Amino acid sequence: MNRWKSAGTSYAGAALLAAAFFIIWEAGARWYDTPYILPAPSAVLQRLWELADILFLVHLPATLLVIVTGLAVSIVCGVGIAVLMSRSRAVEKSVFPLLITSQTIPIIALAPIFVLWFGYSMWSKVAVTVLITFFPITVGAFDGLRAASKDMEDLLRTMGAGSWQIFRKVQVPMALPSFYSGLKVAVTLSVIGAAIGEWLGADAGLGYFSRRMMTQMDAAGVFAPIVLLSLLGIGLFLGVKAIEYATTKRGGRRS
Amino acid sequence: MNKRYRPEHQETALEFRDVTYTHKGSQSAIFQHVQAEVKQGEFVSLLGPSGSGKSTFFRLAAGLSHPDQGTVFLHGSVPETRLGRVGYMPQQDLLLPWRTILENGMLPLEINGVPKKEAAHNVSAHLKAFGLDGVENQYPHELSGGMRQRVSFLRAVVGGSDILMLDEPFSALDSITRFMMQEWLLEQWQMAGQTLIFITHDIEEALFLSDRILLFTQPPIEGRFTEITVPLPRPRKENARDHPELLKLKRELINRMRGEGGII
Ligand SMILES: Nc1ncnc2c1ncn2[C@@H]1O[C@H](COP(=O)(O)OP(=O)(O)OP(=O)(O)O)[C@@H](O)[C@H]1O
Ligand SMILES: [Mg+2]
Repeated sequence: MNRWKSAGTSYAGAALLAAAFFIIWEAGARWYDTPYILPAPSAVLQRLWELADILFLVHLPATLLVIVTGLAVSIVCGVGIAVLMSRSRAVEKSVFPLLITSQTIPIIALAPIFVLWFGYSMWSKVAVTVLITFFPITVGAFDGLRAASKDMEDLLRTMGAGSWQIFRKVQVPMALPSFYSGLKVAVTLSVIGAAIGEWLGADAGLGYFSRRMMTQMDAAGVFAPIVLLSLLGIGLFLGVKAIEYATTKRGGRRS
Repeated sequence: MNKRYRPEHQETALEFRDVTYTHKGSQSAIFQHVQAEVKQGEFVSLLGPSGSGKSTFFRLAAGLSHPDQGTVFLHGSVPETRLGRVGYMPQQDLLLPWRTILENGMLPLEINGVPKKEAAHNVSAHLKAFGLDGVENQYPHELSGGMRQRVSFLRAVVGGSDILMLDEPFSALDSITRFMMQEWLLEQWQMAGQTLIFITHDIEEALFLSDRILLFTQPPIEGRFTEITVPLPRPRKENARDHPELLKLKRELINRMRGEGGII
């Protein structure tokens, strides 16, 4: 009850700040009065309303498909690599440096190559999304898997547990909080990854649409899909939180 | 009321025969040709300074480590693996924080393939005796230290092995809770009659609880342990703490450990 109250006040602060920001923006845009450079928030909303059909029915689904596919690939590969690394020091030693190196690659520079390889198909965008999201997922899962204490594993061994039982009953539950932290970072990045991919070469998607509006000097039209992208990121984040809440038991949660 | 037979008439539950053990990567041995046995139904304490090899003794007995030389017998024979044959209660309670008390108790049963329903039923039957009635659906962090130790003990008991090893189970408790837990443990043991091997740093605790105390000195330990038999009758009650015999033994123990340069 107390927690709700304090959550309420902290969110109230954020809402207040956001409201102030939008009011200043609105006022500034009206005063400046050059909508093709600085559209007012109200103009963006209006444009969003006008473009709703094509945005919601064509471009949002296209982007969502890229994000979901990219995240799925990242989760499967990232968790797989994390499990292998946690099982074998040799794998960890040879794979981890490569993982880190992969993160130093400027993705914007690499994205055109993906377009070259995969064409304008969905897969070039998926590749960018994977490259940007699998690192936090892998590291989160790996750290979590290593968090299980040796003592706990030994205790289970004295009960006669095999390594699969130790994995399922200790390591996995222990790894979940850290895995979800990584996943939360990854879902917000996935929106950026998909948008970058679509900017660089696509025939559908919110990033692509935003760029097309740019060529038409329609600033409000550039912002409208960006608003949707940002809402998408928030939605995905909340989705992960909900899954986390459902799959980790109360006792495991920090209060 | 006491299901136990006199220990001296009993079979050996655990025997170390000529055990030599050196930690991997370590120069000096912890045990050299060590010989020790624990009778069925006996309460034996391992007493000694930090680093003297008490936990190592447990790991060897439980099958987590293997002797370089010599043999560990359980009930007179050498099982394929000792893992899963000896109940172990660690120093920290090591309860799984994402499991309720009931689910924590069910862990050893689940591992041995007992169906969940049956496991839950089995654990529930013990809750009352362990003073855990009504908290079975709470999580470990909601319980006091003494209660968590009882859950940990419950978990070791539920596993069903008749040899239980307790590694400093009460060392993290305040002295009042600790006294109550000692008495409670004696009661439980006097009813169920398992073989109990108990590590402690506390001389009074060892004297009050045990039939026999094995003294651990600075490693390497060679041959037989120095041994003290506590002559008090069973069942022991709280007032046995002040028995003159115990005070005398305590004095003697302290002197002996001083002589050996051990620090407890
Ligand atoms: N995994 C290990 N590798 C190398 N040496 C170890 C290892 N575990 C313990 N030792 C050493 O073996 C000796 C005995 O350790 P052990 O844990 O058995 O002592 P203990 O009597 O249980 O001490 P305490 O009362 O502090 O728990 C110590 O000197 C310790 O440093
Ligand atoms: Mg120890």
